[in-house]
Amino acid sequence: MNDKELHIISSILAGKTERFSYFLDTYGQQVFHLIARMTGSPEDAEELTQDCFMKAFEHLSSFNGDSSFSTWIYRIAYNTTLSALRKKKNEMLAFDDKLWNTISDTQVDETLDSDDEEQIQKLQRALSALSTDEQALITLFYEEEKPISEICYILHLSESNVKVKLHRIRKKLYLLMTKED
Amino acid sequence: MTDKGLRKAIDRQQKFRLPSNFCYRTMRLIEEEKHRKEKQTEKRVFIIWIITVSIMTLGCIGYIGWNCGDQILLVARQLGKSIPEADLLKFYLPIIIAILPLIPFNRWLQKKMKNLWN
Repeated sequence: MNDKELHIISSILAGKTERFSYFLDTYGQQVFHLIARMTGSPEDAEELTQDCFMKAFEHLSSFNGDSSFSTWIYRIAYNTTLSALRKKKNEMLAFDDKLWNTISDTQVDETLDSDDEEQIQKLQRALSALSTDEQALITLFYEEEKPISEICYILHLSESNVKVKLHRIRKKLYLLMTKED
Repeated sequence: MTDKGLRKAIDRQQKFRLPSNFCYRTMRLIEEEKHRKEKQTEKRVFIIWIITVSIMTLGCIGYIGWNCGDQILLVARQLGKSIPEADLLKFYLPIIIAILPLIPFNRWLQKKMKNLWN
């Protein structure tokens, strides 16, 4: 945990509320990006980002420094977004379990590694069809390049679970791409 | 496994940017929240203060009554005999006691009505 951030937190708790702007300036954009990817709507994401920072401010005294502030705020963002989206009914794409086993890892690796323009465009469409928590995982792993240990904390998952989920998402992307053909 | 294609596709996705006044707006909300919490704490302290004062007053009255009850009754009887308007006092005392809680109730109602008109 960053000493500077710990110092800022203790000064906020001592009454210097204005110092909270440091966290808004430092992590606001990243948190907004994750939420926007999960919701797909920048308007909703802006509101949820605000809710998320308000929650962080209200519960700042319960922050014990076990993780970095950034990991903690990401966790709040993930939970806030999930509970907000649970209220809306999401259309989920379901695949037959047998189908997962028929796909070979080599096929998936080759497809997702391809530089071909047409494949990339298909991948973009497939990415938009992912569910909320899958979007979160993709954003944290590929875009934010967070280590697996941090992703585990943010998403409340074990390390093996995160790896299995990533593996499944890659397969799902492949399936969505082949479904287009 | 480098996922070159996947990374390119992710990179090409729509980029989201926070509005420039986001920090200012959120800080304003936070200040409001702080103000609300302070008010709430003040209210709680006031309620605790009222309860403490009431308990202490009742305790004092009880203590005085327990220790000097007989003398007080004696003085009251003598006063009753010496004041000719004691009956008048019996009539007006309940009214005065009833007015005391009605004053803050009246103020509260006035405030409510003001809010309704605005």
